[in-house]
Order: sequence, then structure tokens, then C-alpha cells
Amino acid sequence: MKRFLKYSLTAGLLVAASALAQAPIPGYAASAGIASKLSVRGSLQGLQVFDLRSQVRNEVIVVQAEIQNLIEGDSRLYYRFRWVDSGGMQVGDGEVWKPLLILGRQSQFIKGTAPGPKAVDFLIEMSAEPR
Amino acid sequence: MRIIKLSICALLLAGCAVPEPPPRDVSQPVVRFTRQTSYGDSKAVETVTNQFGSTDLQMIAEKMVGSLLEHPAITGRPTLTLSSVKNKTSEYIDTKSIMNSIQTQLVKSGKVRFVRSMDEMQSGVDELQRQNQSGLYKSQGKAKMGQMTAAKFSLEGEIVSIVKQSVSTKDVFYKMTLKLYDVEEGAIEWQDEKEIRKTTQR
Repeated sequence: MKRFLKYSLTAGLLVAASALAQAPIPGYAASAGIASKLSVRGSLQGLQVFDLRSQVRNEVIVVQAEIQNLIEGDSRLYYRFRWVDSGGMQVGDGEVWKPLLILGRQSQFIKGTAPGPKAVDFLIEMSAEPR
Repeated sequence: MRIIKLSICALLLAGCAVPEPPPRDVSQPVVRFTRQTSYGDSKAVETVTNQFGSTDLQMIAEKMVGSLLEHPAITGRPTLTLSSVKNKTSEYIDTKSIMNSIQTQLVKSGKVRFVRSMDEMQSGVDELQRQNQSGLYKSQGKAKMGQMTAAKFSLEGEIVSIVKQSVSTKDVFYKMTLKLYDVEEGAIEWQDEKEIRKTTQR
């Protein structure tokens, strides 16, 4: 009985580990790395972030994301950047939600600049509705 | 063995216990005249009308601050001052409020220092004169005359709008332009624009 339990537990752990390793990438992100930088509220209505890059300019982080509308219908995206310091605390007062109309099968860039040199990491908060 | 069984039953029963529902109809410590008013998200997108609104102000300020922060012109924490922003639109827009938002975010970034603008100068001069000419203050700790720091750069701008209207559609296009002038040289060191289109259909 003990041996059976031991094998069952090991098998369960292995299945869980492989499930984690092969966690499906959400449809709104082109890769798991991009998905980790997004905080999405509900469905993104066919929108997908397929490129995300950042660089430091004049001591502040500048982030650029390319968003593609994968469907024929237009979508209205609402987004904002959230910036945190090295201790994980929010930098600044929080950005305003910005609306962006993305036509069917169109791609658009969004860009964000950190509010100061204290910001070392970011998250893009997104929400979308059909036009 | 019996004790173990009883313990397990007790644990299961404890686990199944339903938490007491929160009390309802409890009033909140708020004085309200109507239930229609509520506090909302100050950062939400406002589309009540197509006139210049809070979202436009915040988006303009964010765009300008972001663009300026990543520009090498402000390397070395230079001194800036606010100059005029002309409102060339057909509606009333508090351009001072836009510039105040930009100034606040730039000051909080720690990348620049602001000195008194033309509008703020008189109150500064009054305070200096009070400390130096009233004879009320001891000399130690008194702010000295002639020690103000001059601005290296000044921020100037303008906002314009184009309005088109038909029977069913009204389209408003705003464009805010901001320039950073080197005061000594008179040269533009940085310049950017923010465009906003708002369309209303009946």
C-alpha cells in the first residue's frame, strides 16, 4: 500500500510538473515571456501582443509593444503601463487608461516611458471591447 | 481507533460549517443626497462629451513627460521654467492645469528642477522683501537677495483644435505642441506633439 501511494504521488508530481512546463500560452500573447508582462482583463477581442521590447534611454525604461488584431472586426483597446521599483513598489501615481482603436487585421505600436529612473520593471494592463 | 474516527468526523463537520453571512442593510458612514453619485476611477477614459476632458489632459501630460524624460537635453538635472501655453481652440481649456500636470510629473521624476515662472515670481519677490526689508527677522537663516537660480530652459506651447460637424457626426481634433527652449541661445532643444481625435455620432 505504501509503495502504491509513493508511486502515485511521484506520478502525480511528474504530471503536474509537465503540465506547468507546457502551460498553454494565452491567445493574447505570442509567447510566454510576453504573457508574463501583461495583465489582461477579460477577453482582448482578437488582439494579440506579438512583440514586446524595452530599452533604457537617458536612465529611464522605454517600452514598446506591437499589437495585432487577428480578426476582421475592429477592436478598441484600453491600456496603461504600471511601473514598479526594485522593491516591487509602484512608481508614480498610476497612468491614465488610454484608448486605442485597432482596425481589423491591423497592427499598432504602443509605447510607454517610465516616470523616472526609480522604475525598474513594468506590467501592461489591458482591456478591450468590440468597436 | 474510535477516538481517531471521532476526530476525523469532528474535523469534517468543522470544515462543512457555513460561515455567517455578512450583515446586510448596514449603512455606510457617508452623507448622501442621492444614490446616483459615486466615486469613480480618476484614471478612467471619460467620454461623456467630445469637449476637452480629463482623459485628454492626462494623456497629453503623460506623452509630453515621457518624451521629455527620454531626451538627452535634460541630462544633468537642468533648471526649467514654465512659460505660456496658448489656447487656440474654440473652447475654454485651462492650459495652466495641463502645464501643472506636466510640471508635477517632471518634478517627481527627479530628472529636472523647476524655478519660479513669471506668474509665480511676484510671491517669491514679496517673501524675499519681507525677510530682508521689513526689519523683522534676525540675519541668521534669512534668505538672501540675489541668490535665485535662473532657468536654463523654458517650456512653451500651444493647443489647437479642428472641429468638423455634420447632421449626425461631430469630429474634434486636438493638437498640443510643446517646445523646450534654451533660454540663453533661444534654440529649441526638444519639441513634441500629442494628437487626439474624438468623434461623436448621434
